[in-house]
Amino acid sequence: MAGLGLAAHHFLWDGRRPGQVPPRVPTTRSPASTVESPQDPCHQLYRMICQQSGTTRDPSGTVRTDRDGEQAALDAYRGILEEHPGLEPEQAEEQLVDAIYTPRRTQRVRSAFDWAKDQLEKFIDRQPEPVFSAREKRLLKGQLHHVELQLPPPASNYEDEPDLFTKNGAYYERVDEGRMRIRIGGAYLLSTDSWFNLVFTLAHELAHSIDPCELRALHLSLPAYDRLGACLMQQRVVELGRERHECADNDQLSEAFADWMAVQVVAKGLKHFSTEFDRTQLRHAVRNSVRDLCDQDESLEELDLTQHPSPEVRIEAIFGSHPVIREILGCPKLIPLPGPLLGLDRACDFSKGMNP
Amino acid sequence: MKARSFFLALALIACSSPGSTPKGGLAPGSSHLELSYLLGHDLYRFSFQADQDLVVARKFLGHDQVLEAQVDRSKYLELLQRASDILGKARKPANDATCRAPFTLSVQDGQSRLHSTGCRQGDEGTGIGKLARDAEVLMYFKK
Ligand SMILES: [Zn+2]
Repeated sequence: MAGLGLAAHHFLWDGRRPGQVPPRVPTTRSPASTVESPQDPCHQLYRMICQQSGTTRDPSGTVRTDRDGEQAALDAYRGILEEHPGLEPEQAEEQLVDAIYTPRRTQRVRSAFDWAKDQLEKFIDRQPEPVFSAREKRLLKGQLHHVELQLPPPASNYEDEPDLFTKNGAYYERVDEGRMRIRIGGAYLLSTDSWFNLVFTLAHELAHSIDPCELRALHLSLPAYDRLGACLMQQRVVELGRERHECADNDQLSEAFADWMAVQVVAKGLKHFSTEFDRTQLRHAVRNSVRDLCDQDESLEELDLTQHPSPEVRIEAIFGSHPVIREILGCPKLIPLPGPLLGLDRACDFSKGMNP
Repeated sequence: MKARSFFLALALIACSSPGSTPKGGLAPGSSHLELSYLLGHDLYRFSFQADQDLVVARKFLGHDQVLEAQVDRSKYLELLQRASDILGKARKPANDATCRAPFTLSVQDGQSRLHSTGCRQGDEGTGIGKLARDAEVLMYFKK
């Protein structure tokens, strides 16, 4: 596919090397377990993506609910303890890790991680000089480059957080100066093997290494980030609390930014497959890209305990406003409005609001 | 982000729902252990309520109780001791520190009550991950 080149083949879902032939994808309609949604994706994208409970399938794989993933991980743990009742937790975990973090699954995650990182770097490189200077590009790419995907085995890689083996969390953290890592809960590997979801999730976590709050912690600020942030606030993607302090308590800026960057990446992947999948398959791939955003715990929102915008906002306003996603779904382009309404009907980007 | 509001909210959910820490002192032989933490977009809560020989454990995901089970008392007491040890050294992050994985831990044993908040990430000495693992193993597999 034009524009993707060899790297496109790097996002193969079975961990094959770049340049090898992509896996065969079903040419028939997807299995009956995934029912075509009657919702209009242009106006009801959130409902189209979130209304279906249980497993959703696209040609690359499936996404199950967080709880299904956790139950599967606990069942695997139970099976090991029943078979070997005398095992200490650490010994049982080694076996659990071998059962969950199989070479096939970890290779797939690493492949999605490499592809997402590569696409984020390319996205930064594509920005014109007025958006990012050469120095700023180097800085952002340098940050991304240093993020490590830390996966078991051995189980001791998560020695300080052995509870992760039965959890869904995939998360980024800056451990100490200059050291950044992403860890993936075992339940996530059991609940998700859709390549599109893996890419969105890993791109989101990678983007945290360059999000506005991480840069602020490094005493850095970029004018392009200010423009993107202003646009996200103007469009109410980032909620303006009564006393919003950037990167302070429950501020949604870093999460909205990570989602926005992840959409740039997954849109590339979806675009690539838009000529290979039929319409239904493509919609399922779109759905699975962000399917797990539907699972956000409601109690967190009630308690204002999340920095994430609501699932509706993440899906409709961040994901659904991307021009490629709209094109794939057959939705009309968002049209920029003139004068004081400038930008209100256009997807945010780093250049929006720049003087021409 | 400042971590303070996370801890207030975690404490709020820990004190306002079933299985939460009882107010006031407990009768001799009674105790309570509770661990709440945020991981990604999921809020986990493990709660143990002991009354003489009966120990009831509950696991919550957000508002929803996903497990209730009677557990072995002696193993529970080991867990309670470990939680108390952790409480002695749990560190609260600075107000301006980024905290993506906050936790609250509380132990009530008879008249004494200990409560602490902290941040899991990059704080490999808290032992919260291991405590959560052992709480889950006890609930699910070692009743
Ligand atoms: Zn995030």
